[in-house]
Amino acid sequence: MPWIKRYSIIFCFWAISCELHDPIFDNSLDLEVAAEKGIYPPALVFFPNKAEATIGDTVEVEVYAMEIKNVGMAQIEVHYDPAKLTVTSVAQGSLFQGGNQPFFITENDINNGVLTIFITYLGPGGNSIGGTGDIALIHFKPRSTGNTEFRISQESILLDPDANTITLNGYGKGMIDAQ
Amino acid sequence: MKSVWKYCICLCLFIAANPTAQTIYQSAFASLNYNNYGLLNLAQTPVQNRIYTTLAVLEFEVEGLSKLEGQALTDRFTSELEKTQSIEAIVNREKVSEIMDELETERACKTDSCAIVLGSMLGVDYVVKGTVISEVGWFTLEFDLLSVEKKDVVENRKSFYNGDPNGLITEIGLVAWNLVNKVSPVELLREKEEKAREAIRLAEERAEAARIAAAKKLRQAKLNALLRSSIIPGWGQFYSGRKTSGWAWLGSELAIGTLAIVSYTQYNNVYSDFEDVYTDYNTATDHAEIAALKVKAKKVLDEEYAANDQLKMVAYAGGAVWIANMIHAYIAGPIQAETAYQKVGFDFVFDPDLKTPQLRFYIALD
Repeated sequence: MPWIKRYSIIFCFWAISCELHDPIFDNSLDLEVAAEKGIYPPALVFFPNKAEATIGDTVEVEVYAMEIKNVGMAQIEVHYDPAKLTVTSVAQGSLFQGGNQPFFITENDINNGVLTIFITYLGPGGNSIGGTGDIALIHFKPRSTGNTEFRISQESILLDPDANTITLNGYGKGMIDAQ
Repeated sequence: MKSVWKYCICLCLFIAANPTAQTIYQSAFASLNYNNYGLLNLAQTPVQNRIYTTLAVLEFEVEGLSKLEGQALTDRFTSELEKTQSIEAIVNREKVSEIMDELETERACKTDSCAIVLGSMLGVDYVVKGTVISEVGWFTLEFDLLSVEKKDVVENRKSFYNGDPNGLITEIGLVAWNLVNKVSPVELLREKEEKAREAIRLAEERAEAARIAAAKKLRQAKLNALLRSSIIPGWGQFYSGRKTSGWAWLGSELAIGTLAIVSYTQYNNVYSDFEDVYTDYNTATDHAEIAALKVKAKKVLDEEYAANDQLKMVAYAGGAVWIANMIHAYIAGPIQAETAYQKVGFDFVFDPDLKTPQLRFYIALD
């Protein structure tokens, strides 16, 4: 028995010494990572795009606009599985700041699992924003265990202050692993 | 009473057959009443073969043997002398002892002059005085045949014997024949050969048993050394008396162990660094910052792999040294007693007379 004990300790030492990171670089705002997924700016993505939670917990996911230019209005549709997720609240992000107070409203179709976020600068010749930043903060609550995907619909649109459509090159997806 | 009658009849026959014997009879009876002791063993051989008339065998002096063994050897010698048929009458050890008791004479008689005086008192013409010395496996046998009349040594035999103590009895017998200048009988020579063969066989058996026991002991000692070295490197070598090797193995393992600790610390540091950088990368929202953190994370990850490789290499080296130390402990085993012929070499010494250091070469001459 002492032999087994001794060699177990040695084996543990080896096991510890051999532990290495095998990272996945999967920041949804990483342009390289996004490109690998076929998402190129300008795009709408979730940050973070993966989260783990237990039933009853609230998961915060931000909707990010990636490298946008001259945007005055945004209408974003988020599709989720209503059997597995509940949207508890939606808050305005930090991207639409400055100038006139932006108009921010949300609509949640809990039957179909569609959350619509609408944000715009009021009035003609309103402000426009650009760059990368969060448009909205969504609070999800898992309803059942397992992986649940949610995504930004291609119906989402961005308009410049003159109401011209800005072409988006990517629509992000996210996932919540509920335990 | 029967023995008295037997001796009387024998004596009468002997006196009738041999005029010399009559002289003995007369001289003997002049000083002692031999019939009372029954001390004369009359040989049954033809008179013409006999060289000596009367002879007394004194108890042999012994060294390294017990008195009882000395008496047994004396009796054997006397018995063989009788067989030589060269002596007309022998006064054996027991009779000599009885007569000496009767005469209240000092028992210890180590010198030739003492033996001659004793022979004179016993009324014999010759006296045999012997010494048996046992010393580190060697037996030295020395016998003097002393003439009482000449008061001098007439024959002297010295023999060396190295062998089984059982063979000493035969050797004594052979010396007895040799002392009276007679060719040793074939059966005695055969007995000697047989005993020599037996002694060789016994010696071989003992040597084989000793070899097996030594091998077993050596194997056990090697296993003990192996066991100790498997626990602590060098312990087995210390156990086997190989201090230099012990220190070398222990030192090597300690050095590797230190290196392993250093490597593990490095590995641990870069492991923690990566955790931090990776967390920063996952939480960053600025593209430039994300890109920079990603590069940094990959660099730290490379360092982590390098540190791990180094740690593994050091651990392999440590393991290899440990195993080698165990193998060495088993193969080398305990230090054997150094024989004299192996004591050759050079050393550097200080000469107190010349007060200078000197290079010395030495070689054993034994």
